Amino acid sequence: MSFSHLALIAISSMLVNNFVMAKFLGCCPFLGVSGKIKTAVGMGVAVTFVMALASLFTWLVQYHLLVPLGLGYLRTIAFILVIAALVQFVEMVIQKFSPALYHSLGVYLPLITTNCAVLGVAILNIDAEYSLLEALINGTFGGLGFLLVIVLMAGIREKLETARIPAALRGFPITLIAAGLMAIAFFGFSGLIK
Amino acid sequence: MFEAFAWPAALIGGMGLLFGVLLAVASKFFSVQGDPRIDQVRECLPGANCGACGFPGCDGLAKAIVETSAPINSCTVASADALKKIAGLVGSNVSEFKQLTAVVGCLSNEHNMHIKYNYQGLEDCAAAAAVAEGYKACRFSCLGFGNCMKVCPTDAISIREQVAFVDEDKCIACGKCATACPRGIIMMLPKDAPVVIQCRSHSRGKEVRDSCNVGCISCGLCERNCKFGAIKIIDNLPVIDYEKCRGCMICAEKCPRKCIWLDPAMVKKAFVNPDKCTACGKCNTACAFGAILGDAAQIRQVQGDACVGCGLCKERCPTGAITLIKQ
Repeated sequence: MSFSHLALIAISSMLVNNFVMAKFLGCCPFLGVSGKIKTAVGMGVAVTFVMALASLFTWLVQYHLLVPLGLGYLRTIAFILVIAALVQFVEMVIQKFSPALYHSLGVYLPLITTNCAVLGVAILNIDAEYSLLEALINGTFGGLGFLLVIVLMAGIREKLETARIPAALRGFPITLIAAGLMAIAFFGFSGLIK
Repeated sequence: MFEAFAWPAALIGGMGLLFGVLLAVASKFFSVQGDPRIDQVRECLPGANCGACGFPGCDGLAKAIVETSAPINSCTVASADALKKIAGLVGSNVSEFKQLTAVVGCLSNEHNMHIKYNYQGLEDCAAAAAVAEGYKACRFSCLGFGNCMKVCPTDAISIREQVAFVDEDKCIACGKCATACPRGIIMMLPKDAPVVIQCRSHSRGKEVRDSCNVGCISCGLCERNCKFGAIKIIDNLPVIDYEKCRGCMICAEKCPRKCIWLDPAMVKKAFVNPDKCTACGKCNTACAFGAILGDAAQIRQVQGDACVGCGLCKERCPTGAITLIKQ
C-alpha cells in the first residue's frame, strides 16, 4: 500500500468521484444550506467530521461484528444505528469540551445523522473492500470534497443574489442550473487520473 | 432455523441497547448546565421547528428569548396562552406583543379588474407575472394562481374569483405566503386590525382608475379625515400606523373606492352609565366627533350616530362611567 495509492483514493473521492457532483449524494444539505458562505462552511466541516468518524466505526462494525457472525446483509440498518448513535455521542462530547466548536456547528451536527453522503461513504467503503486506513481516507476526503462544493455553491449563490436574473428563473431554478453547470465542470476532473 | 432469526435480532437489539445505555450514561456524564429557563421556554413553544421565527428551530428561539431577549412573539405559531406563559418566565410584558395574520391586499376579482389579455400559460403566479406584467391590468394585482396557497402549511389560503383569500382563523402568521407572492402584495398585519387597506397599487390615480374599480387612487380622503393622524399616503398608497389607529373607521366610510376593509366585529359605541356620571363635562371636550350630548349639570348621553367608538371619552372620564360596547 504505497503513498501514491492513498493519494489516488483521496483525490478520487474529493474531486473525481465527488459525493455531490458525481454520486449525487448529500444533495439536500448541498441545496438547503448553501445560502451563505458562513453556514456552508459550518455544514461542510460538520459533514467532513462525521464522514471520517462514520468510516472508521462502520468499518470496525463490518469486519469485527457483521462478517464474523455472517450477518453482512444487516449492513444498512446496523450502519444507520451506528451513525445515529455516533452523531449523538459526538454532539454531547463537543458540547462539553468545546463549546466554541459546538456553537459553530450548531444545528448542522444532528441534521447530518440522516445525510445520505454519510451512510453512502460507509457502504461504498465496504463495497470497494477498502482497508481501515483507506476507508478513513476515503471518508475524510469525501467530506472535504463536500466542503469544497458546498462553499463554492454558497459563493455562487451569494453572487446570484445581486445578479439580474429573468423573473421566472429567480430563486431555486437558477440554483439548480448553477448546480448542474458545476457538476459538468467537475466532470472535467475525470481526466485527472488515468 | 431459530438461529437464522435469533442472531440478527440479538445483534441489532444488542447494538441498540448498548448505544442507548452508552448515550444515557454519556448524557449524564457530559451534561452541560444551562439556564433552566431555556428548557421551560422550550416547553411552551410548539416544537414544530418551522423556522418562521428566523432562529434555528424552537430550541434556537428558546435560547434567543432567554439569553438575548429576542421578542417573544417571534414565534408566530404559539397560542396567546403560551406566549403569556413565556412572558411570565422571562419577566416581560406580553401585551406589547400582537398576534399577526396574513392579509392579501387586492380585490381584483373579475368584476373589479380589467383584463389585458387571455393568459394560457403555466398555472403559476411568478410565470404569469413574467408575461407582460400579468394578465390583469394592474401590475400590483393578485394573479390568483395560488403560489401563496401552495406554500401555506395550514391550508388557510383559498382562491376566490381569481383572488387569494386568507382565513384568519387558520393563519399562523408564518409569513411564507408573503415571501412566495411574486407581487409582494401579502401583508402581515395585526390580527385585531380594525381597518385594512385592500390595495397595494403604487400607481397614480388615473392609472388605477383605468384598470380597476376598487383600487386605491390615492385621493388622500382617508389621510385627511383621520382624526388621529394614523394614516399617511406614502408612494401613492395610504399606510396605517396601527399604534395610532383607534378603530373609528372613518377612513373606511370616507373611501370613495371602498377599498378599506373594516372589521364589523370591531365597531364600537360609547355608553355613559348614568349612575356613575358626575356631569364633569370632560368627555365633551375629549370627543372629536361632537357625539356627547348634554351640558352644565346634565347627565351626559352619547349620540349613537355620531359616535365612532374611538374611546377618547372613556380615557378622560374620571369616574369610569363610560364603557365601549361592541355593536
